[in-house]
Amino acid sequence: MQFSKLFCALTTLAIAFITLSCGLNSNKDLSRQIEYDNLVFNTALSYPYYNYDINQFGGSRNESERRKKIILKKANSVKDDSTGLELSLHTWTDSTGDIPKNIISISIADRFLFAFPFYDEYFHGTATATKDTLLREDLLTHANLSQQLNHILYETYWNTTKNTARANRLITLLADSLLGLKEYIASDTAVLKRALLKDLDGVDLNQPCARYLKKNIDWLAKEGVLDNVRIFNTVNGRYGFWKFTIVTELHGYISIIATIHNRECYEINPSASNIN
Amino acid sequence: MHTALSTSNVINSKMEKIDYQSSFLSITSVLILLSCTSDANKKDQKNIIYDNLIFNIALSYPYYHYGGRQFRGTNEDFKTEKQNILQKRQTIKDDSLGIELALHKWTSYGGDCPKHIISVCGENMLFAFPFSDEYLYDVLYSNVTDTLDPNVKQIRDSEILQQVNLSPQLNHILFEKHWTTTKSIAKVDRLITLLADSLLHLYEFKGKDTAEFKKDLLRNIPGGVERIHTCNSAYKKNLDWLAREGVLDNVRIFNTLTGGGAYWKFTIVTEPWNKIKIVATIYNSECLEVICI
Repeated sequence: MQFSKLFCALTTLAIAFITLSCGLNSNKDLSRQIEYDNLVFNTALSYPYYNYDINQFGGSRNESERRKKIILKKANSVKDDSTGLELSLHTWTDSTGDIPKNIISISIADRFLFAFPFYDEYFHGTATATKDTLLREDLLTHANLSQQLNHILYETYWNTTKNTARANRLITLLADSLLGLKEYIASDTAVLKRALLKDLDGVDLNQPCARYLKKNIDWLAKEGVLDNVRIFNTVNGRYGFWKFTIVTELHGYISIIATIHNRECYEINPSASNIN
Repeated sequence: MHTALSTSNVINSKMEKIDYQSSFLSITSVLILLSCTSDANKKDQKNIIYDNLIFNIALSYPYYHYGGRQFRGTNEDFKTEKQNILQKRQTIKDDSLGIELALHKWTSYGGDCPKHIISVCGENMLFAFPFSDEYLYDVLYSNVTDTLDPNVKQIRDSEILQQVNLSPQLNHILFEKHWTTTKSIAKVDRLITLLADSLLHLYEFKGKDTAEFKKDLLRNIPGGVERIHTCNSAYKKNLDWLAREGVLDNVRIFNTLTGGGAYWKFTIVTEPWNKIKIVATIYNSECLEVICI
């Protein structure tokens, strides 16, 4: 009799506990989703030149909601069991008809959540004065990808030489799996140079900038065969190249340096007149 | 026998009572414990989410460490940088609007002008955005940017690139707080006051008519009225125009944070179907002297 009462009390306790923890878990899932959406949308609103036109974000509630949905929709997602990383890509285009804007989110279960704007090889043609023969178009990538990647290394404790393989995996996940960028791989400089030049088909190598472009290709080919360097195409796939270098710092720390090279012969000039 | 039975009944009934009491007590204590830890966790979690959001926005800041020292290296560097960014420099709470505004401010390596992030929190709302004022960017422009040849000529010029448009940020607040109709004009006006005056301490230009307004604008030109002569002719024209606009009911004009000679103009625009929005713009940037790389 006493056992059954005790059993009854324990069962009640267990039910209460399960109900509560279920409720807490579903609340947790919901709040995590809200947190994620909020983070991505906040990052979108921080995007330079977001809606840089007279028809600002605002006014109609429907319009605002529609815009929010477009931005929050994941265009691609990649989950990696070996590192626990989940990467997602959000991409949208402003009413100004700009080149698509991209936000990348990176998370590890519920202990790490990070989102950042990803700028590729965008140009801001200021379309104002010209300086004689010089191009009056500035490539301003706005945000430095290195700092974003190094933040991930820091937060995941992967910023030491022991974790070089993980840092390398992060680059693969980001550039290859999520963004689908073509990687230039070759064991010697001449082969790599040929591969790089092949993707410059259509570039007028006689234009004033070409001599710098050729020089940079030589340099990139030499760098690209190094163990700690990886070279990818850009998302726009025009004439820039992403170069990722894993650098060993002092005291056993590592960093990633991500830079765009060969910007000189660009042709992209998206809605530049909206700027300035 | 009877006494023994009745004693046993009493014991049983007491036991039953104790069982119910103990199960009630256990459930209550579990509930209290859970709610306490959940409250504490919630608070911790809220802080983590807030810090994460602010730091995410900081890393999204245009030209964050651009050309300066990268965010890399030792853990100490990361920690110092993070703490510096996450520190709230100012907080304003407004009960009537049910929001709290906070200002984060830091300077990157390389002697940049301070960078600002403003956060707006309220019920079911957590929002942060980079506030870019009247910064000038010393732009490298030539067809040889990023070249490896050190002898190649590079030309520098200064350009005002505001980068982040304040209007979408403010309209997002209106949207989230359901202040998007003419009924909420007073609230929207209060939001502008909180942001520009209470949080950023921007000087608001006033005048009951255009002439008086213009006088106030001229009085506050950095370097004095004489400086106007060195400015672009459009500057003087813009001052006239700003004075005319500034006296309108739906327009408010403030100094910029940098105070370099540009002005913030906030306009509450009424659209069809009683919808409203804020248009925030910077004017008179032709005479700036501020240069941030």
